[in-house]
Amino acid sequence: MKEGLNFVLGVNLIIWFGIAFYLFILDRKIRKLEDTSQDIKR
Amino acid sequence: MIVKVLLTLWMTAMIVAAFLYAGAAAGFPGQTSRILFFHVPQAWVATLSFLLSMVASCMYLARRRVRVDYVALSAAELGLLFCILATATGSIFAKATWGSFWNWDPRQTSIVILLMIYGAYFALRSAVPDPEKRRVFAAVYSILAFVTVPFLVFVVPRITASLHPEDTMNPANPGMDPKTLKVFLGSLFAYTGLFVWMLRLKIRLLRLEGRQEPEFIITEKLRQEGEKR
Amino acid sequence: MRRGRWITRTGQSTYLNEALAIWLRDLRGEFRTRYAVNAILMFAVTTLIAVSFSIGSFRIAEAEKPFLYSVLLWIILVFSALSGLSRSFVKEEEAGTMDVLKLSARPQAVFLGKLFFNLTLLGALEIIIVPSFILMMNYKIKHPGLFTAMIITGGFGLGAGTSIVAAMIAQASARGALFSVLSFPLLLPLMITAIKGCERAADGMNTAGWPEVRIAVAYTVIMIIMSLFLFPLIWEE
Repeated sequence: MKEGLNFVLGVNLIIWFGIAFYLFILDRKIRKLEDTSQDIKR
Repeated sequence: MIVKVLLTLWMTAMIVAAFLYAGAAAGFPGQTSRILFFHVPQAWVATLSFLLSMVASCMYLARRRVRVDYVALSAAELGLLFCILATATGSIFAKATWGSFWNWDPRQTSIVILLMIYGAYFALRSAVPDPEKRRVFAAVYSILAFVTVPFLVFVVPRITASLHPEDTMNPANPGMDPKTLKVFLGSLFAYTGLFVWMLRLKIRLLRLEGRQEPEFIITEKLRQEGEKR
Repeated sequence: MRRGRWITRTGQSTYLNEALAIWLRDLRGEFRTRYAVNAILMFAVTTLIAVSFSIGSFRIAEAEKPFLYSVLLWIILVFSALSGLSRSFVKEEEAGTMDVLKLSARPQAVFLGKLFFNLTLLGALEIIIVPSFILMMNYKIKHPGLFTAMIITGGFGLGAGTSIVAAMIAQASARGALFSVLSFPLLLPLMITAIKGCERAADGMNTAGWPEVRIAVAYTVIMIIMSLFLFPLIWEE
């Protein structure tokens, strides 16, 4: 049972790290967009 | 930024704790109670989102500030996401505990109804071409949907209880075991933090898109004209 | 939102007058073309026949009948309603008379008029379908008073919950399917209550107090009030 538990824990952690990583990347991209594109001067 | 890193670490800690620190609760088969550390916070966030979206809708109808509608829309999207997650984890729990994925017990019924309301909300949003109308209609619908919720909360239990003696989902008293309670509350906190983070990201994205909208460009140009004079 | 008087004093038109005018106009139009009534009744009759045919020869335990038949009846009623009630606003949109309607009466009056019209359609639906259902399925009802009350209040609830949605989808793009999708979550509490109420009436047990009827009335009142509040917002776009 212990091995099974560790496995599920591992899977969960991988999923969570994937999500967190994705969120950080998104954060950075959005920050870049916010800083560079000013209000449209057309 | 530091807050986000801390949040990430906290959630990691909670996940680890859910499996290694807290023990499996007594009344449940095997290790199944552990899923509640994830399932209940998800359901909680789904309901919280719904509430937030509704409140934002009311505020939008009052003042018609587009930014408020961004909140309503983002909260609705996240609410749908967490609602799906909650339904999925709930069904897994149901299968493990009672043998079948779906039982139509009151909790499951309410979450499905919430899912339907979200679905209808997004269907409405995508069917109205004019942006201003879209926001108003969506806000009106979300208020109407919210009004039916008290009925569901009071009506559904009476009906399902008396029709079928279902095993009501007992989100247990994780208060029983102090360790369990700690992890449970900690997870709740982590999920709420995650929700706020994702919400803010969505709103920022919408604002960026909004800068491309003709209505924004026109008002900006007018403002710039005004400043030149 | 302008305040209007309910009782006329100087001959100025009131909400009720305007609403009744719209209602009568829709009724007259309906008598001529019978479009909405046909749509709703065709759906209802077809479904009823399908149900009766499929279930008719099947042996259902007597104990289950009150509940099952109640469910079937309300499924027929609700889905028939969903197939036809959007007509009240959609026909304005199709005929191009939407703008004229917006100019001719105050928003709340327009809503009330359309609501009355929908309720009339539902009344016709229920008068025809419910007795037919009872006869064709051999539905034994021990407490007809409660049953009738449930049907009537349930019908009111159906109209109250769907009319404002009809107004919204008439101004949207994907009419038919959207109406059902939007209405169904709003109608769910009413439907559950009505099914339970009719089952109880058929059963004859525990009929004191008529709780489901009261819930249906509360639902109707609340939905109408909210609709009166919110309708001007979607109407004056």
